[in-house]
Amino acid sequence: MSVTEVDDSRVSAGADPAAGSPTDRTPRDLQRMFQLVLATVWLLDAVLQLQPFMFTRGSNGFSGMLNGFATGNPGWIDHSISWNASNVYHHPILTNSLFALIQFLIAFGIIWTRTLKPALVVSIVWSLGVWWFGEGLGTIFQGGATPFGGGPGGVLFYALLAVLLWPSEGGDRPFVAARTVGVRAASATWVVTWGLLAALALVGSGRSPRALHDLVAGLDSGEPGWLAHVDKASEMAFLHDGTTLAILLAVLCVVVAAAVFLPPAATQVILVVAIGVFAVIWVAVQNLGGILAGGATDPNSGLLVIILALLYWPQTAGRPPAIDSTGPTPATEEAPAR
Amino acid sequence: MTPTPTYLYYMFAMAMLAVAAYSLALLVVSIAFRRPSGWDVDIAHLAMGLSMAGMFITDWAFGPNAMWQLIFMLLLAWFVVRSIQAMQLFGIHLSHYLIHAAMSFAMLLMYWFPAQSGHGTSASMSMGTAAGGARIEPGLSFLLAFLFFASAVFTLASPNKGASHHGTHHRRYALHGSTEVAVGPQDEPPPLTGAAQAVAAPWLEDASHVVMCVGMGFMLILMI
Repeated sequence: MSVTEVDDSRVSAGADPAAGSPTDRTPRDLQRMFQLVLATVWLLDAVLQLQPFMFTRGSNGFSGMLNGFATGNPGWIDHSISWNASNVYHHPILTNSLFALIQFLIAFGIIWTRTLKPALVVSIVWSLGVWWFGEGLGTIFQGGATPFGGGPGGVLFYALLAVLLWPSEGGDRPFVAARTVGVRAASATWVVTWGLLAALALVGSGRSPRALHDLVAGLDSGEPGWLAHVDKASEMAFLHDGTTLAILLAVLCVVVAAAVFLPPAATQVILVVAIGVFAVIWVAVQNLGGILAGGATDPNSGLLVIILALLYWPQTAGRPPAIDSTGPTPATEEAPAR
Repeated sequence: MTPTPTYLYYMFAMAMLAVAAYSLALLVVSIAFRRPSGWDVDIAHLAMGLSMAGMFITDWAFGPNAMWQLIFMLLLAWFVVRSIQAMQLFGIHLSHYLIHAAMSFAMLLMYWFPAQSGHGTSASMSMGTAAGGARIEPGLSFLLAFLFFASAVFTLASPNKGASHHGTHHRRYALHGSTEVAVGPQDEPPPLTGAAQAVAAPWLEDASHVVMCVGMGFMLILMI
């Protein structure tokens, strides 16, 4: 029997000619869509946690990775990280299974609207815990928390996104991030975040050519050929112009921080530049978090900064306020008008 | 040898077999009740479930690699053709066939580039060393894995239950393959009853797709 089917993706994206005029359709709930994007990243993290090396002891295992973040921190932070690493070392399968399970629960919790709020709360708590015990507070106290390398800690952005994506009724104007916390609070959060990124690009070893070079040089082991070539170019760029690049990044971050107060068209241009720059950083400096080398626990900050920027994308004409905050827009089953 | 922790790989292998068994049951229901859509996805999930169970646990693998490669090539071609047909009828859009085409392609990649030790995994791939040490492109592997995770998440969140198997317009269009035919209740296939209704519950169909997406994404991450 001959059958023909059509998927709903275009319908809910508002581009299906089969659904009649555009005014017949309910607009897509952007906040819900971004919640699901966040859930996808959590699901990726959960699966990355299941990689074989995460269950092993020693310097190449998960406990060794955690221990590496302890060095250089103040004593009490060092001890707390070492304590956590010790627990992981002695019970690698139990602890890592638990860590993966929590991340699976967060991912699937965000998907179901009934468990969305608890899942977001857990994600905030978990992110802060990982930031402390798993990322050594983003190496801020070691002076190496440059945004090039993921500073102030990729996992912090999970917490920030969870706050900004807290479910609420209402529209997505002027941007999705303002829907729950309001324009003033969202704008303040934006300014603080980008101001912090600007500062971190300049303080400590953030503007040191050698430190920036070493940041990339330590990552290329095990990377695919094309990315290793990109890394070589990044290393050379940092070695020769590291300070200049750090200053340029800081200036960009300041401009991006101010963008939220500019007219929508100007904001969009600046956000495109910011997204482009952080996409390059994510690939050419952060190496997608090291995922392609088979030794990553998360995609690092680049991807999350891009998602954050999209939350502040001005929603101007042509998009009416979202009506349904409980889930994606139901697709129509009406026949196409052809 | 199955890597540590073994429970993890047995768990995923069992999940893959469960999807395969469920897909077989769905296929029987589809034939018995002349369901117009979804049977191709059932066949794909059946093959993928059986094949991937053998990738997670070597002892559970069966059949020559060439057979599996042929199966997934045919499935890939089928879903690509169906996607093109859907686009011809309804214009450029993301047909649900595309994700199944991507999954068939991923299966082919797994057979063309078996997991290598020393690249972060020693997952028990049953395909031996057919590719002569070639390594899957990690970027492609990651991209596909992320795509499958996104498919799993958005499938679960979709209010259109069963869309992962049938799309969303099958009730009106599927019987005639035309956008211009008005489909009345008399044209619908016989309604599902009893156990068949329970087996073919749309949420269960979506759940099987989600399990397959997560399992396949995990295998692709292991192969990086």
